[in-house]
Amino acid sequence: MLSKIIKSSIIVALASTAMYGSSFNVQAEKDRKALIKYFEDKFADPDKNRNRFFPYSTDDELKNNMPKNVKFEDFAIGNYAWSIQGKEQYDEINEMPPYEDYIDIGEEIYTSSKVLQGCFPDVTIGGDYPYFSDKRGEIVTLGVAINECLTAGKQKPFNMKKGKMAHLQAYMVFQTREAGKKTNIKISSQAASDAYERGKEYYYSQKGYLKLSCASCHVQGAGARVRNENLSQLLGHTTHWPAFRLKWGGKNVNGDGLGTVERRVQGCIKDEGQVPPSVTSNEMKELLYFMTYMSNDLNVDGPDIRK
Amino acid sequence: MATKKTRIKAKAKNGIVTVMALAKHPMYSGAEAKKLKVKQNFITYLKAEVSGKIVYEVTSSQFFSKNPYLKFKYKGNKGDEIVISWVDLLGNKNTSKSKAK
Amino acid sequence: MNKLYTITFATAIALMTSGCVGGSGSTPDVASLDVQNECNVKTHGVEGVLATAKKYNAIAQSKGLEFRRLGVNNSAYISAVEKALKDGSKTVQLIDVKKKKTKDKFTPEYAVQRSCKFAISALIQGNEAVNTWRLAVPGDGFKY
Repeated sequence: MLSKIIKSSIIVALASTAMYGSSFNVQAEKDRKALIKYFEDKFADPDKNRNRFFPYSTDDELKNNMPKNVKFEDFAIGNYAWSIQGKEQYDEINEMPPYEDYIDIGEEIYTSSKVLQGCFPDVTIGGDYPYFSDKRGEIVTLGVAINECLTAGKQKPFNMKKGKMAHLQAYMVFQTREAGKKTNIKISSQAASDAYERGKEYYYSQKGYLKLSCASCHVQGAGARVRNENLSQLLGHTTHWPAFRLKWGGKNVNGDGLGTVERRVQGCIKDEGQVPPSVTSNEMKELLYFMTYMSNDLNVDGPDIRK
Repeated sequence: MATKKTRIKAKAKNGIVTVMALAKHPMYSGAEAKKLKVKQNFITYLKAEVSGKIVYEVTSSQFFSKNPYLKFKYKGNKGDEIVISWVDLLGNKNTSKSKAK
Repeated sequence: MNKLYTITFATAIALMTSGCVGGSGSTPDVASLDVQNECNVKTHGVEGVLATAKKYNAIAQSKGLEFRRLGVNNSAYISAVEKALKDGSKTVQLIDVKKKKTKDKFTPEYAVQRSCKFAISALIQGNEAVNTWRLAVPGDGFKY
């Protein structure tokens, strides 16, 4: 009798952990929903709410360049979501996006490597990274996973920011996009939740010579103008990597402007007046974990163009 | 010398075909060639033909951008085969084709 | 009995030191520093300020808070000053992250004062951030 009671209570306990096992993401979900509400409120009617959200923008900008009622899925295209002029340029370049060739090059890298095919039999995984490995006690980003695969297969790892890494990721993310998958980051343990919280604290902490946090520009500052560019918002920031940045294409001898999310984030952190954390450091990985979780449920839509 | 093919997208609507083409060429101007220590070279002539008739042509020089992107329209229909060919200063040639959708 | 004491002692030390690594923002003794005074070359001399800069920049580096200004890391400022002192030259040659020489012509006095301020400010900001970051989080401290 007693053993029966014990057995059934174990089953009930297991069942409830399975059902409520993802209770580790309760705070993260609150953060994510609050972030979405903030941006939807902010970009609902910029002209009407200028005093609350856009005290430094001009009449012309607010009345003529910013559309109303930008919603959740719209935010994935960055600042083109609420800049009419920007969207026009974006649509024009997308008639013949410069990243198309690199998807083919990435496919070639994948199909000619038995090692990569062994590690990634299904390439539609762009929305599942970064993830927290309970076994290792750390975050694994897509770049790290690719390089560990290569090293284990006795091949040379790729540069984490551009070149072959970006080409391969362009192929994988494009296939993820074609398969209609969404950003799907999980927080399934206390350690993962702690990593998320550390990434979040980094995002919102002011640092560097210019004493800026990521949020200074991409949460509170989203929509404002810096020199001749408008600051994009955190929501949707990670859905479209690797990105072809026109600025990088102009600098590269072959016109190859593709770069990974790590490349861009390091560039941003340098702009704050800081020495950026290394691409494989815990700071960087945890920051990306937090940022990507904030874009959960948005479609993976990479590779994409940015200026 | 091997040349890279031109990526062509063509859409037909109401008797007009809109062609978007991205040609691949480094287009080294004189100044750039000197800096990079390569031979000056750029596309000098490019044309688009449908059924042997020229629908678009351009005589170009150093002013043309790297990997030039062209967009033009002509009177035509779905199924047209568009052939884009170019020649450069050093005599290299490329011909690429695509059908209008 | 002795073994038990050793183990408890060792665990206590381990717990204390691991506690320090956790909260990366806080540096306790920085809060009481007066930056203007600590980095004053007239009061402490170039060597004195250099020692201060080195000490605090090392802490800033370990916490991932080191400044980089116009492509030059603060540690590069410090090593450039050291080189200038060793060579006895009147200007400091800064090397940027791409390993190129910059066009700035700073005196050792100015460069060392700057690197000292960079080092201490990084840590003071780090402390501040620990207490203020939640004010920017929508759904947490951020009200609009």
